[in-house]
Amino acid sequence: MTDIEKLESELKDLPEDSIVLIETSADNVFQVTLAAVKILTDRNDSGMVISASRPYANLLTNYKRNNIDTKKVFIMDLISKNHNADIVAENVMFVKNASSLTDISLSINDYLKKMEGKRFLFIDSINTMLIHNESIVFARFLHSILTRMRINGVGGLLISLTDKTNREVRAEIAQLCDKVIKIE
Amino acid sequence: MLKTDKYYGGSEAKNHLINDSFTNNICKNNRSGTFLLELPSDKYFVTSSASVKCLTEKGYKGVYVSFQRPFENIYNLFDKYEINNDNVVIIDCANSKEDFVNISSFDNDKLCKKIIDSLKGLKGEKKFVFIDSLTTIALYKKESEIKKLAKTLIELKNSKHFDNLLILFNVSEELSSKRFVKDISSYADAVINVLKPGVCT
Repeated sequence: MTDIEKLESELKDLPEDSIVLIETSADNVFQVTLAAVKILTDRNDSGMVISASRPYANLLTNYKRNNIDTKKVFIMDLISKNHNADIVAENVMFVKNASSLTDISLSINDYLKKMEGKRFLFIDSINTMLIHNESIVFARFLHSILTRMRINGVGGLLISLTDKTNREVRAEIAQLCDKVIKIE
Repeated sequence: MLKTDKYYGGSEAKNHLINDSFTNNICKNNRSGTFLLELPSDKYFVTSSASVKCLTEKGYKGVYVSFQRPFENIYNLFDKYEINNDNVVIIDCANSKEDFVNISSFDNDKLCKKIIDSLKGLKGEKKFVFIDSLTTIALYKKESEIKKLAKTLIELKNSKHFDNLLILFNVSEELSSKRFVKDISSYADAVINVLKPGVCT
């Protein structure tokens, strides 16, 4: 079974509103990310990708290349605001940076209120977000976001690199999730 | 039910994950006591649910104080795990609109009063208070305040109102070495690792 098949198999039986932490290696992370977004878009009506790892344009190209329905995806780009002031598109918003947690939180709230049907949230990635935020502040932010997701019946995936997250922060985040999937 | 079984390991939420230390020290005896429960972070909620299931099946009724998840999520999952929600009062501190129990702003005394009132509302002799979890509270509160809350709750079991009261503090096993958790564990009668057989100190 390939890593991607393993991911599909692990996610297949989960309820749609489940919140899952996916841990994978740096070598695999982008392939796993693409596979996860493909699964989520196939299963849901729409979703938000919060990307601290890759810029909007790069994600869009790769999503198209991997037959991901980009009409279902709204991308919150946390890294390329300064370079993309001129981009106007319906499915993207640029946030100043990954440490703008209040802006990110408010935008997620807006999204959860506005969008209807089966929705997902995808956070890419825990490690990158932690570079820009104090661990306790980030854990508090995640706790708040996951609580709101549960209230709104929205499922989601969080991506993290195996063994690259501080043990305590990892435990704090893992215990808030419904399942942890390891793709080595 | 099948999907839930596959997902959370519904059979896990029945009792076989709960080890002898938990059942021998807590569930089987009609006793009062304070315990710190260590749970694996990767299977945290299914294990805490299994603990609640074990307690309710042994005739305990209690108050589940949730700082991690909102009420509906817990209620629905307990229902799926066949935990009788009539025997559990859930105090939602994760998303409460009432400031005095909301995790970001709760007042120790008012939360304790809410817990006491909820306990009094439950019929029966054997009762528990389940705090889930200490380290989640620590995201928002000073450790000194959490220790104060723990002490106030522990004093409850000496109250004339409650003969058989269990106070259960939950914590992820990976986080149990935190200083304030160690301090709280020193007030407890025992620290029980819910999954590892025989780990009870």
